[in-house]
Amino acid sequence: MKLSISKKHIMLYSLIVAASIICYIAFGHHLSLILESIVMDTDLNMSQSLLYMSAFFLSFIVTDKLYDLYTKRQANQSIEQKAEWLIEGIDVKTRRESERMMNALLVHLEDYRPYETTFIPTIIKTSVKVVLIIAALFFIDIYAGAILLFTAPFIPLYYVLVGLQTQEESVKQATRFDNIGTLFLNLIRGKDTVKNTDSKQTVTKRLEEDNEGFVKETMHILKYAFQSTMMLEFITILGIGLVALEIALRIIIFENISFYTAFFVLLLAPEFYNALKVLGTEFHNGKLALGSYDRVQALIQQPKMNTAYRGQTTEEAVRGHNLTISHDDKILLNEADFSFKKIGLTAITGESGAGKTTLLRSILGLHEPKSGQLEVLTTDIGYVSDQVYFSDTTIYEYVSAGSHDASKVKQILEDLNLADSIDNLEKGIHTPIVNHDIPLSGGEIVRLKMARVLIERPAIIIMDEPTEFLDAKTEQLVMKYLSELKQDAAIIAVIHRRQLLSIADDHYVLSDGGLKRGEPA
Amino acid sequence: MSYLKGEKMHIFYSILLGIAGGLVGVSIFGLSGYMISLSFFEPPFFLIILIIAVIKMFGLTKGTAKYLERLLSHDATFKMIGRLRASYFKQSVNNDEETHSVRYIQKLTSYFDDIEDYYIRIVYPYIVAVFISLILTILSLLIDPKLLLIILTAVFILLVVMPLIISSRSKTLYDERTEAEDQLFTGLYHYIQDFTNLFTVKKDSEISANIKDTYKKVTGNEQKEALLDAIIDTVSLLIQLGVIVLVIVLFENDYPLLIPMIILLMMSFFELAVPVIKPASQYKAVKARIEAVSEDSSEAPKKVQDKLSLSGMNFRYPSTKRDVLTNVNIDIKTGEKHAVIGSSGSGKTTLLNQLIKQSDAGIMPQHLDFYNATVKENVTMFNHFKAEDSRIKTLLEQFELEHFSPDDYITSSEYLSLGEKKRMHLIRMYIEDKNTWILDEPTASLNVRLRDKIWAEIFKKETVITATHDLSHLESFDYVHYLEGGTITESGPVDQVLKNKGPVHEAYQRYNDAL
Repeated sequence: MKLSISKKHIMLYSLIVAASIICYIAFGHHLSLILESIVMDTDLNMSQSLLYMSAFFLSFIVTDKLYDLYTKRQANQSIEQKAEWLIEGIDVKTRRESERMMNALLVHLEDYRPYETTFIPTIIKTSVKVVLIIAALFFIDIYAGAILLFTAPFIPLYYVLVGLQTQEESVKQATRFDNIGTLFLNLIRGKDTVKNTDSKQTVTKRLEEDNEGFVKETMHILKYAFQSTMMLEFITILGIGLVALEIALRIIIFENISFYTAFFVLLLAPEFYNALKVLGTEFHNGKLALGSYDRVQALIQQPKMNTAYRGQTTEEAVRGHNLTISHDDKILLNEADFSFKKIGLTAITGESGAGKTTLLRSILGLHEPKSGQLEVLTTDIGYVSDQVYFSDTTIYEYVSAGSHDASKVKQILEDLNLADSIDNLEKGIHTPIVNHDIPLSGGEIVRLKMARVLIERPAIIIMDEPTEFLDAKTEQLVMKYLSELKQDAAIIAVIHRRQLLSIADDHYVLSDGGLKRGEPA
Repeated sequence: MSYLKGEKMHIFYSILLGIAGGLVGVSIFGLSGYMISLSFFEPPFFLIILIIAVIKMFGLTKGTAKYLERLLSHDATFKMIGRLRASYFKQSVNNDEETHSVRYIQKLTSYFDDIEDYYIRIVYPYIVAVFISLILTILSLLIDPKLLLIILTAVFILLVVMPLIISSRSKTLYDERTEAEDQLFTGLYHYIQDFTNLFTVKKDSEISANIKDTYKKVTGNEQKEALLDAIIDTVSLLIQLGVIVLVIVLFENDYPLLIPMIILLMMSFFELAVPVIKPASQYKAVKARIEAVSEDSSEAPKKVQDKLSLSGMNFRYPSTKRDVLTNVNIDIKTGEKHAVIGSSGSGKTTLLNQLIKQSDAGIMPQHLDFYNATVKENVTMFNHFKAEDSRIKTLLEQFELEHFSPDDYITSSEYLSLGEKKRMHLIRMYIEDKNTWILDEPTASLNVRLRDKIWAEIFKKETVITATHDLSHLESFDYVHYLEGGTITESGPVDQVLKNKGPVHEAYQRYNDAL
């Protein structure tokens, strides 16, 4: 497994850890000296030694916590960076898979977080620890060092022989646990259908059965996983036991070891084995966390939409030259040449699915053409889309976008014959729109969308089916307003109704990859 | 702990095993310390060998105890989670909560993670740590009452005082995190949904920056958690140092031989107790969350009426201040076919939902639900309805879904397109075989050929209520209702209403006038 961390950081981390472990070893050294003097009655300046011991222990605490805090900070920043990449990757296409994006940021990235906050620091910490302890032990007691060195490979070896196999199994099982969890969440989410079809009993039974089967299988796998932990424990005990035996023999039979050495070795040996054990278990967790990152990465690596493809023209509102636009491999516009006037209403019609909306989106900068040039008069284009979406806001904020005062908002609402119905609301233009819940009719919503665009008085206005939800009377009103507006602006509108065609200055029909002049305009 | 009912014995044994394992683990260190002290005073050789043998035996016991304990505790936890899930599901079917949002599902997931944590990480290790502390405290009396006092103080600070102090901080951090995630969720959702508009008014980078700022709160929260961890560790380590120094200073002259043992014992005890502190501080908060799930709610029987009608109906959602439906009157008799039309947001779906509540009809809701299971399990609601594979195959072919077979596994909701979902759900309704159908936009996202096919099937039913934008078959309905702003503004037999030149007539004209 490759650590996703720079060499510089590995060095820095290792240095801090080394400092902290050296402090711990120094603490052990003084503790062993003190205990030797107590048990064996050797000469020692007790208060000074206590001071040293405490000082080294305090330094150990400081460096160790410094390490934890520093590595966590780095890790959290790295996670934040990944979150930012995700957020930056959001574009117009994300809407189609919004759930995937939400899950990547809020679930999978969180599942991955321990990999950077815990796994990497622990791996570095334990690796340095193992090396330093064994080095120290070679100084303190070469025999103990040799025993450690001899028994240590059994632990990784054991992992290779047994652990890896169970690891694979447990990853599989974790996926299955996710799946059962998913069925549960799916059922909760789709409970209405369960209710509507009166199938609660059957479905609950199925959920219970699934879980029973899962517990059985999981426990079977966990048994192996726990067994392997137990075996590791046994190997550890064997190692520590060997060290203890070596020390006892040397104390009693060979009498060539001091109390200091004996205690120091017994203090450090378990630390050594524990570090190796931790290395093993963390490896497993790390692997699981990396799996979650794959899903995040898939989104990060998705190519970001290019929105800077539009050129500039001063002659027309929009000009296409040799322009080819496609959607999902389907050619919608094939090497077309066209231009829309700076002043007046250009109507675009065509069969549903011919690509009218895609053409508008290309002009808006939201859909990169396959080839050719597309030039616009300005990139400040007002857009009245065929979709309605209101974020949590108020009518005033929605229309003004924070850049116009209330009187101007009222004026535009007046122009669109909306003022009366909005004044009727309890809070007038400050009525909140929460959860998409807006106290207006379909036709009023369409006009509200227009108000938001028209208040800016943009030079180019793009409209997708502007009068779809309007009744005849309101339609007349909107048409009158558009007629005034087109005197000094370009309005490009995809229309579905003949009515609007009567005020159009130009009419184009989009069909079979071509943009042809249509009747009557 | 009523929510652990079925697993009580498992839990009891696993706690016993945990205590045994922990004690043995601590005593291994104590014994090693004692052994070296003893060795220097020329004890009989067999005594040392005996101690080493005992240490090894203890080691094996500890390993085995831990192994069994983990098996039992995990088994108990998984079973508990399974049971809680089932009961949560039953409870959820009975209430009206809206469960389709990603945030709801995400919260639920973390909820069940909490439960998994609750026993394995919070309750169980704490109980074990408390018992081991008690036993050690009592044993310390054998040596010196002063030692008892030291251990008791340390245990009291570690296992009682610290969790209590941290408890409120833990809660603050948890609430802060939830708030940040809620905010992040909402911001992100709005940004994704409203992207086109934000891009055209050149506000996308501003909003994107806002969301990044919100994410900084998540990072900040993680940072605070890390700091809290560091503080807990530091305090515990300081206590540990204090205990070591005290033991040395106090007992240096009285029990020189025992000091190495006591120190190693204490160090290994700390290793066991410190990790318990933070989880213990979360006990209250997590417990409250779990109990909220396990509360049983009584079943509300579904009211089933022969005829479907609403009279003078007003309706508002609990969170809104405004009626979504105002004085709605509608009466549907067996054998009649009704269409509900009107612009988006006029209340059609809400009106249908009111009718759905009082009927046992076949339903096509606005939001279609599919589960990660096979096609067959999906269309038969996990075999609640009986249908042969051959019948399902025929239906799949009939609705141009022959690229699916009954055994295909639906992996996620994105697996099916919107149009496929409509047809797949229709197959579900076919197999359910009710005489009355209530449908919300049955032909949306389908091409003309499939629309005609589906309308033909719908009109074969005895009683039909449909909300739709697709007026291509309006004249085949018996009655039509025009909804505007939550009020029925026109209603009556289709042929009559079309002559009225009212809103229905206008909508119909406009539908046919489309280019």
